[in-house]
Amino acid sequence: MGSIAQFDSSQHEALKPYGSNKKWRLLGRFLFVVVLVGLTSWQVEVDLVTLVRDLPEGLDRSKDFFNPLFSAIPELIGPAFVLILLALIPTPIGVFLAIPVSFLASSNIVPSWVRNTMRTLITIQRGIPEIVVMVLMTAAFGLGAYPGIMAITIGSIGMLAKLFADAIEEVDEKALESLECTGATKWQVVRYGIIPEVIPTIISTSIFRFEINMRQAGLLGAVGAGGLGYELSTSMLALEYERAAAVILMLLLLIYAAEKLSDKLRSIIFKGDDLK
Amino acid sequence: MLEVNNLTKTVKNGKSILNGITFRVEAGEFVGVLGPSGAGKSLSIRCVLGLTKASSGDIYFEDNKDRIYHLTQLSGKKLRYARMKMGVIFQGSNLVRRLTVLENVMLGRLARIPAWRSWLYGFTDAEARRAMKALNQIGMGEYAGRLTGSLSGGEMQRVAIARAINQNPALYIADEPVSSLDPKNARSIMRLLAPLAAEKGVLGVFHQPDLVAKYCTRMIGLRNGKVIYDGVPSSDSDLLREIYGEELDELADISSLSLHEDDPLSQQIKA
Repeated sequence: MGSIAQFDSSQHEALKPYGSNKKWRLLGRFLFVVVLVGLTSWQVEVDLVTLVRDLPEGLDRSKDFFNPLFSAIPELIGPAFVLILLALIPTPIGVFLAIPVSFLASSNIVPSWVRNTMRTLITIQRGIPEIVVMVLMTAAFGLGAYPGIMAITIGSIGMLAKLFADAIEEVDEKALESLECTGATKWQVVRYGIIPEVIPTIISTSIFRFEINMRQAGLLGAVGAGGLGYELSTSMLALEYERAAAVILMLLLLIYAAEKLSDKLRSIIFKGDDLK
Repeated sequence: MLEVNNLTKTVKNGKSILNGITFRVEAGEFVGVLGPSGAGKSLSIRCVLGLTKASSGDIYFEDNKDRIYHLTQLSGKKLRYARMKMGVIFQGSNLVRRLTVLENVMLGRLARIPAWRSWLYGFTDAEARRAMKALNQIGMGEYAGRLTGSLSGGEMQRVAIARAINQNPALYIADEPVSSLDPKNARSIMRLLAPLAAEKGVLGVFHQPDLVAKYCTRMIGLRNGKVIYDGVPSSDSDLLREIYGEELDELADISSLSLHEDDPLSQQIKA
């Protein structure tokens, strides 16, 4: 092998990214990104000059946001409970319904045509945002918490079923085969070979989904599900930015609390679990 | 007890891997199957267990109650009954990692409990005690409560043996039970298998001729999907070269380490 001066990147495929042309390629990439950002900003009519010029005025208009109306907090406690229920009710229902769906979407449990059909359905479901489901539900059932709970539940099923099914398909096939060789039935293999291996994933993913559902509940509340999200949208529409700020503050606190709670829950459940 | 007659297996691309394998295993025998990679050792075992369907040939298995199973013809419920009587010892890593050691051993009895009970109630106290007995038999009693995934390779292999013992089979079938273990653990696993062989019978696939020569009562040499040796275990180098061909030289490097643990040099290395 020669010295660096004799570096020849044509020697081997693996050496291609190195050699003297590396810095030019990096510069090229950088310019490419700059041009791309420039072109898109021009296309969507964002221009930095206006942004900087109008910033003080914008900050001045939104200064009410930094001055939350603390006196509004007592009347927001009711809506806060509604928000928590909007997140809390759909989570276990979603988990409960996602488990059978995930079994039907796993190649090591069902024939591949069933699995692929189920996976396609899950993908279609996941392609529809909760807010769209909410609007459809509202059209059918009217405003209120009920369509919100339905929309969040449906959203939970899609995501949980996909992640559960991925975990099921990752279970070591050899361990399942060795159970089959004891003469166990297919369902016994599922019970003792698959379930114990995926339960940790089911628990931790479900807790994570609860956190997501808290955020979803805030969003869907604004389009009619009620709760804090609804308070936020009415305050904004009424230009009561100080009240809106109080709502946002409460939302932040609740979501933060939900995260802390799930961290705690996880550490209790997985305490002493040396495989995790 | 186990009779394999003219077993053949041709895979999709027309390549034949098993070319008429014939051998028997009698009760009380410890049969070690040797052969280079691709000789068809594991595939033969898979055919016996009904995990892979043979292209032609017959496998008969007689359990300890004189029932005869025509394994190559069985499927569904009947195949499960036959499997209940065969204690399979896989590589230990094939255990359920997230169950405790005791639970894994209890799984050896899974086929004997009704499906509804496995979902609604699980195993009984009597089944737990029975599994504990099997664990104690191989000196793993103190590991009963540990999560199986946290054990070392040698410990897992012992648990796999305890599961097979708990199953109370008519014959033990071991597919490379010591391949992933260090020489010391490999020998202690062989020492556990030897009495099981004397009591029931063991058919095992191995990669270490020295271990087969030391512990097995009969040796079967496979090459290119045919039985080319069936007789007393031997570490005769001409015979091994006939079985392994070129691969013998690579094998010798490894097995010599485990063969002469008592010689002065390895004593020095240990010290």
